[in-house]
Amino acid sequence: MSKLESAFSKALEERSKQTAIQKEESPISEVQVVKEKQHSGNREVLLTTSRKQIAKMMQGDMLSEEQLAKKRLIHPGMEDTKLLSTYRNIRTKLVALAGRENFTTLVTSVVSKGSSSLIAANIAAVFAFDDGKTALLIDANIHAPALDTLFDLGVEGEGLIDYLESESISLEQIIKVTGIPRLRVIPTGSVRENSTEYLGSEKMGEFLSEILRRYPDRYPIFDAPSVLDSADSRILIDMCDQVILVIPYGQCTEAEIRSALDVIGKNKLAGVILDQF
Amino acid sequence: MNLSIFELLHVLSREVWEKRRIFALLYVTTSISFLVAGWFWPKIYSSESTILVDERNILRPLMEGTAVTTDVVDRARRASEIVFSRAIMDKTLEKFGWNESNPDELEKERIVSQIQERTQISSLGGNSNLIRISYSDRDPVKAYEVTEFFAEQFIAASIAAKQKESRSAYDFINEQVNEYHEKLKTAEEALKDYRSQNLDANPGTQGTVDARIIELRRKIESTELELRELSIREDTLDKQISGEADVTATLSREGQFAQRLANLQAQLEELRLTYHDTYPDIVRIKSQMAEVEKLMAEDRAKRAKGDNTGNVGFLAADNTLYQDLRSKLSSTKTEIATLNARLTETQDLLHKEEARIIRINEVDAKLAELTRDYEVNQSLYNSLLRQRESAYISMNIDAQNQGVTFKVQEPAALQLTPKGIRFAHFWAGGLVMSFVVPLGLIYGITLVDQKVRDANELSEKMGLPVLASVYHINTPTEYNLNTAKKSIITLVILMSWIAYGYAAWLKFHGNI
Repeated sequence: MSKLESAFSKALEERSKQTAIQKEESPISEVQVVKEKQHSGNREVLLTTSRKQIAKMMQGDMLSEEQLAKKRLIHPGMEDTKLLSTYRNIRTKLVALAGRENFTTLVTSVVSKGSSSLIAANIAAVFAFDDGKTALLIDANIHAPALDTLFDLGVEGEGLIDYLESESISLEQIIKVTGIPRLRVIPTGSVRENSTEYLGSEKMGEFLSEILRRYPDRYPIFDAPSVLDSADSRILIDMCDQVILVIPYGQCTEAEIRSALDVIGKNKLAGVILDQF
Repeated sequence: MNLSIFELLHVLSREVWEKRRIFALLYVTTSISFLVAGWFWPKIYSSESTILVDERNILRPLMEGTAVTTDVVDRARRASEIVFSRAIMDKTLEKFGWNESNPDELEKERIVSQIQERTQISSLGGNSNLIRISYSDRDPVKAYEVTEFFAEQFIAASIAAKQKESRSAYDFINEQVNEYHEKLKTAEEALKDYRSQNLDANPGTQGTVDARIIELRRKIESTELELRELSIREDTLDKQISGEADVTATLSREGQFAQRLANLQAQLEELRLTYHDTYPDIVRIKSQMAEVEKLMAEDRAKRAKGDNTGNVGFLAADNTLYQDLRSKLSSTKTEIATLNARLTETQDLLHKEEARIIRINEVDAKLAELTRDYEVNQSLYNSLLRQRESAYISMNIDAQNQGVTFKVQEPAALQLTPKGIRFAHFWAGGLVMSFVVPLGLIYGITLVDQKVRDANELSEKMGLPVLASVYHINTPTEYNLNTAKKSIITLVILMSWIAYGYAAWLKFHGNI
């Protein structure tokens, strides 16, 4: 673990250096400072409002510990504290890397094999542990969705594609409860062959702005298909703030990992998660 | 993958679990294969006999340098050649019943090949004197009997071969002796004929001729020296004779002129007594006297110049010295003529001797060639005579089995324990290999597929920022299922071990 931590701290340092460079390159004018102050004042109001809204969120039927265990989802009271601690560390590192709240995270895998959807769900779950925060898990794996099965959402019902396709479907209609407090999920919805066009549309951008605006304490997490198998992931990487690459044990070669890293790019890569090593 | 032993074990256990069906299948297949193979593997009994080839018998040191005890180099190979010879193989087929089914030649060859494959002939400890003959067969009695038969046949054939070899050696050397005897006789005849045809071809002739040539050359040199001396003497005498005649002639004329002058003076004196100086006779006499004096002066001048020409002979005969010189000159000339004749004769003799020495050299060269042939033949003949004696003794030694002796150091014995791979080996090997084969195969697959299985490889080699390493959370159902799977695998292994145990019990206690 010490090697992993050192690798991660190295990545953190690089990231902070890049942020510092960006800040130096863009001097802030006085008008901007005033705007920032106004914005921060608005943000505090928003946060207060958000937390009140979060407290009032309809939680639906909560999943029991047994049900969560069956779904391999983590929860604060689980016996395997090691795994729980691991996911909490992931959350801490992601927040530290982002340097702000309300950032979008994309979880993708090198190859389609593995359990990146479950890892995405557990990362979302660990964000939702905090009473003052909420997590939104978005299933962007259009052709092989896994979250609707994981959260027993059923095959019927609107999802991301339906929202992007139709003007009549509101955001509230596609956000589903999961049985985990403060964790919401947006399923893929209808299956479309041209999913790339939908994900790359303007409405997708509006969708992202909306989910970030509505809850400042919300952490949207995208469950994306394999970065090497689907062009959808490449579009989503550009939209998200940071990317987590899941490397499943014994499923991919070094060359495939390097290709995936090239696609993601150094700036977007938050780090890799070794799955079942 | 560059893994430590613990990482390797971890990866291997993971891979075995991932490929548990392949593992189980391979485990069962391998263990059953080994058990079945061990069960049906034929028992091979091997009997062996060790033969000592003793070359250090009592006769060897006694006969050192005289007799040659035949050596057995590369004994194992020679033993194989002897044992696998057609004669012994035919005897073996006949004696041990392989001919009972009247096999054709092809079948016989096949049987002989099988016998040869089952027979091992080797030297113990490299090129030592011990030869081991072993024969393996499913029948222990047959293994014993065939081994014993091979040992006996080998010894008998070896002794016979040695006797034959030493006899052949003697015959060969004897033949060579006769041949060289003839050659020696021929060389002797040739030498004798040549010497009789060339009398100069006697020892010491060349020395005599050389001494004579030296003597003749010395004589020639001496004669030539004498000749040079006589020649010089002759010249000197000639000069002396010439000089003596001139002086005599000059002195005689002057005396005549002096006598005439005295006569004229006397006449003048007599006339002056009578006549005046103007008297014609006195004038004439005076004129004559002046003329004579003039001639006297001329002669004196001539003598002073050494010119002795002129009238010599008419008074030389009266000179005794001249006569003496003339006599010596004549004697010298005679001696010169004698020495010239001797020189010519000596030179002729020298030429003859020189021609003779050339002839003698040619004869000597031919004689040396003939002598050399003769000496070489004589040397070889003498050597062969000694060798023939040695061969004769060696032949007698071998005939009496006193040369290289063959003793059965360790006789063939009836073996009751099978040799080579048997059930116990398969049994133990099966237990081990049934794990090794599937593990090795699975490990091989992990090496071949190049998939990443090492976390350190990602963090250290590739330098990836690793957020965390998460593991699979088993659901209660999965947990139960995995437990069941592990139990099945354990059961398969246990059943295999039970089968192995039961098979071992049957083999060792069930008289199977």
